Amino acid sequence: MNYRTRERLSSGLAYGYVAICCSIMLLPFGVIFFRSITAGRTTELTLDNYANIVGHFWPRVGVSASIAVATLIIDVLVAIPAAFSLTRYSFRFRRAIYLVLTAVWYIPGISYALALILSLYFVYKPLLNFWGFVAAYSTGFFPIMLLSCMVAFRQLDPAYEEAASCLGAGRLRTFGRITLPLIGPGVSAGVLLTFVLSLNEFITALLLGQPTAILTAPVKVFDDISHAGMHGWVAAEAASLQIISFVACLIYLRLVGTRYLKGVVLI
Amino acid sequence: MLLAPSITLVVMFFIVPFVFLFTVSLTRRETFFFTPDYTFANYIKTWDSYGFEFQITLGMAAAAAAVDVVLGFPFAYIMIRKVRRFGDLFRSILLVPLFGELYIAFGLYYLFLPQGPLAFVFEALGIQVFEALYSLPSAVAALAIFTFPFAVLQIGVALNQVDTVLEESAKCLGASSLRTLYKVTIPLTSPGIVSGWLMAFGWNIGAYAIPVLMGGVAVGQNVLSVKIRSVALLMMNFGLASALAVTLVLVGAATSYFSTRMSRGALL
Repeated sequence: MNYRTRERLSSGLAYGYVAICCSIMLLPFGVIFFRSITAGRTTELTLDNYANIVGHFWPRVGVSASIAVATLIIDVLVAIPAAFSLTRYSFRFRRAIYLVLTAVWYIPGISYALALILSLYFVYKPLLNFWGFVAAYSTGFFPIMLLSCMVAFRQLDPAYEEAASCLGAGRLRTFGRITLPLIGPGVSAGVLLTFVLSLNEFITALLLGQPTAILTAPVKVFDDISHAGMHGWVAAEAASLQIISFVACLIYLRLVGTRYLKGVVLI
Repeated sequence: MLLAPSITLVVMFFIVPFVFLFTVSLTRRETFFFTPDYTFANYIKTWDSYGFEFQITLGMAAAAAAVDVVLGFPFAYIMIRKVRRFGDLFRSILLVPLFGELYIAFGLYYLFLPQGPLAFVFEALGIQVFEALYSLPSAVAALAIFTFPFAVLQIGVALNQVDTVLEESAKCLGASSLRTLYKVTIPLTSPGIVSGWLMAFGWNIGAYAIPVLMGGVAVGQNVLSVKIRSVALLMMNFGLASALAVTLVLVGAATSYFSTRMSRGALL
């Protein structure tokens, strides 16, 4: 075997491996999607399953989406100043603060959900409604927003800010006119991830759903799987949620690309 | 000043709930709503009668995380060193498992059903479909798909920091590709491998839908996330549920601590 064939063979193997891994990751979605567009035992294609869920499922998606939007607004407002001070200034306990702020990311979901539900029952009673979900999600997904914003600030050359302040702009003006527009795309990575994760969040919603009587879309999907079984319309529910997440990701990747996702969730 | 809102958020909805969780875990069920009297009974019970649950949960999470690392290392290596074309496509596909374990569980559950799309394959091979579906290995496989991106991310970050000059010089000095991999690349990326395993492990122990749908009765009803929910919300024994949850967090924290020690602090 000469050098070129060996080179070709090894790169073919490499691409093959990556492609197999990727298809395994796409497999569950493919299966759900396939089930949602077929009717019963036949392989005839139909959209009936999607038509059947309009009345009872889309209101749930509406609830989930409004929780997700409220969550990401809070997270953006809270994370940008925090990321700014964590990347631009050095002060005592900086690493400790960073660890505390991101610790929730490493806690098993069920433990966090139980801790939260107990404190909502006995301490924050007024939040035992829509806002309880928002509080839970915005704390739970805060690390990913913070991380995205920090990546954005690190990729931004401080020279621009220095130039602005040399030219006489105040700190606030520099931040509003220079820093914010430049980190926008980076923050949007956090916005995308927070939206997709909160839309699909399951375990916290499962525990919080009981006392608040709010049924989010993923919990509805889970209930239907466990009670109704593998019907086409259940698959259509799950597929619609995934399609929304897919479309959100595709729009983002079209507009911004993978640049700001690297180091946050992608290599 | 700028940190104030984030610290408020985290203290209010992260620190306070956990302090509360710990306090509740020390109360007795009967006195919980009145004047709590404090006791370690819940922890003793956790130790005495939930050993099997811990074993199954942690074993499953550890196995799935190990699968992630073993399959994720070549994936990350290829993505960083070899792939030029379609790189962004492959990267974007890594986002899909993050949509949630629920869909992975659902998709695979349907795939292995008797009337599912793979039924004819199982029939041809003569495998009993229910054996294939309701078992520990399929739960491990599903969890491995779920946390694959986390392992790849951590390993990839570490690989990115390895200077390729070191690998090239190993090769110049006569080491084969395989030897270079074992003697240079893997030791240099070991902190990333450890943290990738850890992150996958941490997410796996909190999983709920995958063990319930994929694990069958034996696994699905005995995984800690399911146990905690049923003890808390169906049996209303918040003390015991809290003790289980606290123990789970402590196990996770201890694992992180020891791996940090083992990777000589390179993790953070």
